[in-house]
Amino acid sequence: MMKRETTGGNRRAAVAIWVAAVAIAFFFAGMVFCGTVEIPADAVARVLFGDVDDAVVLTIVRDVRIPMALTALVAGMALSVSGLLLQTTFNNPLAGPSILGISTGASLGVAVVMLGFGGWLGAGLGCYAGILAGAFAGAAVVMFLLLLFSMAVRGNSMLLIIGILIGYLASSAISLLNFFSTQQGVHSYVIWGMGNFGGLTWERLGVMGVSVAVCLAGASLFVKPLNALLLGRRYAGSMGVDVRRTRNWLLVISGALAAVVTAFCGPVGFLGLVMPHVARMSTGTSNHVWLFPATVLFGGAGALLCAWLSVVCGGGQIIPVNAITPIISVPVIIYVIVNRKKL
Amino acid sequence: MKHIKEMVRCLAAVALVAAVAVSAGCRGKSAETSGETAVKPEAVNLMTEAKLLRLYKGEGYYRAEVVNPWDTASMLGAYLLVERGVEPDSVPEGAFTRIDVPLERSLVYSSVHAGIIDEMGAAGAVAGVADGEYFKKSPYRERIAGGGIVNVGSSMSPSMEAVVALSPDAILLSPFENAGHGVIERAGVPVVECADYMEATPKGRAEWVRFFGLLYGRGAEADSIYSVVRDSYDGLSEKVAHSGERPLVLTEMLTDGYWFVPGGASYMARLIQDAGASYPWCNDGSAGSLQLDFSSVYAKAADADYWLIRTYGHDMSLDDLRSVYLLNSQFKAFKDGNVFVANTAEVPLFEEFPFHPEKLLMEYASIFHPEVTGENLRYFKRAKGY
Repeated sequence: MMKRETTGGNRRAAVAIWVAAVAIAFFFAGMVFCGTVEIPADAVARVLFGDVDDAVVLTIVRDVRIPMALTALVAGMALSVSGLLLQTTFNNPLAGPSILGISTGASLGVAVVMLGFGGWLGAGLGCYAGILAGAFAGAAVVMFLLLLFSMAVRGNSMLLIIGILIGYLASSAISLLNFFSTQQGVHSYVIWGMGNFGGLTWERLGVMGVSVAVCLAGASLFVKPLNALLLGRRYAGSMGVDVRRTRNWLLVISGALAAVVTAFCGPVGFLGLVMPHVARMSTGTSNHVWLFPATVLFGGAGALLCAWLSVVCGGGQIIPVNAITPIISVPVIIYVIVNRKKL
Repeated sequence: MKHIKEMVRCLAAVALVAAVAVSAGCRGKSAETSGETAVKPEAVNLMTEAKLLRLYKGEGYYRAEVVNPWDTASMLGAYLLVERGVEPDSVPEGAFTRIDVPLERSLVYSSVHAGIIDEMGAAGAVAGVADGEYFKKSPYRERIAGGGIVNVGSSMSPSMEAVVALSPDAILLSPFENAGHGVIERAGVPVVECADYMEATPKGRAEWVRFFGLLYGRGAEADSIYSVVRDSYDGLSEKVAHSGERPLVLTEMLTDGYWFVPGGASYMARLIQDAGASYPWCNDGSAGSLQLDFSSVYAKAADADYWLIRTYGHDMSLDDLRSVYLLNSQFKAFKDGNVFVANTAEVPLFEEFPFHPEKLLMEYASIFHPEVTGENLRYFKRAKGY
């Protein structure tokens, strides 16, 4: 009986994973064929098959649309896995990179770069490296603080609260920087804060992709400890899992994933919180053997959907990604809260 | 008998028509002959180019109306400018904010307005400023540093205590859409809504100097400044209009995935076209900015001949531009080395062009048509590194 149930559960999870993969293909094609500039589908297809006859169309499809779709895909995967790791680690369905203060820490790092130097770094220049460094440094500081407190605080809930408080502190510092900054600096920071998947060229996308791939590979090694953590700290400990060490590694990986995305795409909200739940509901399991790949794929599909909507709903302009993600995510969050017993 | 009745009817009709015609003629003559006295002087709007400001001269006062830029059917402010210490014989009906002029202790939020006030010779009437760090030019910088001018803090949230202690006779500030002025409105000080920055034409914005002239008792100086601006602007735009070639011009750059370009009906689009160039979005009807992505910009402006970029604090080179976003190097202007950059932290572009658009027009004309004007750049530099 047990075996049959498991097989049925596996089948459902497998179907869900296939659905997510098809959704990725569908939305990816949508991103490539639909954009802010009207290009006939046959012209796009010619670019894809290497039969180029228009340099402008080639640049737009090959160097703008495809990198944007890939950026959304990679960012969605990274944020979702970050959220999954945090939700399991803290045994809290509302944990996510933005809740724990990691994204806010990255934002503070960028704010220091953009606003703390009279705004000239944020004007766009060498500054790109500065923004990346700022995001990583900000996220790293928050992660370091969380790890530091994790040595003093036993309970996961308390650590979660400390993460939230650190996030508030970072927000306060951002407000102060904004207040004392130049108008140009505030303008740059506000634009960055809108979040976007369209600012990366192939070169930078490669850096982001490799970084995320390394982190995802690292996270995949923790599938078994994650399953053990689902059963509680004591049970995990009895199974030979070094709970504190595992928790610290998971924090570092999830923090790195959030920092990479924030550095390259700005603070993209909600996806990290919601997509693990979509994966859970679709697969009907909490077994990370299935949940982990499902989260990766649903995260990618969700981000692609948001990116696609931001392009096609703007009437020739790009709607900020952060204006789209709550519309898709909030109903899911409310559903999760209302039906928490079922999770 | 029947014929007689018809004749009487006809005569009556003719008489009626004649009476109406004579009556109408008399009225017309009456209006023509007494036109100078019947039409009140107030009825003539003194502003000719500005669309958001109406200025009327009354007997012993000026009446100013600032149109709401975001709802042109309504007013943002209505003012009665009355000479200090003199009571006019009559004032028009309606709700007006009375301002005793010339101003003697004004609080000015914007360095742009302070600049033109100084040019009119009335800098001494500025007693306070907001965002004091933006006032980089003399005499304000020295007076702020020396305490002669009070800095009331951020223009978005000024210190109410500092404003009350200053007790200005008027506050000149720039309005924002659907935003009040907070506690400042309760200070009992006239607030002058300077919506000049929302004017869609260079000369329209520059003409606001005449209003400031009346506020500071420098009407003649202001009129003189404006007429020089207008004549220079018209003369130069006429000159380049006949230069034949109209290069395509791209502005600004991609920032974090978004590219803000001036709308086709905007101030900057107008200035570019008046400088003898073509603007890729000239058919767009928007007076504000368009928020575009790279694809949209590239599809329209890949072949742009010139690329104008404003930065803050950095003299951007072509290498910088390429490193910010690799595809920037795909534009024709980039390949031709025709990228011009204005570092607004170092050149007084934002401070000067609002009331001296002829200077920016000359700058643009120098870039687009050096054969007509010679190359004499004041704000922009050709980007290095190519």
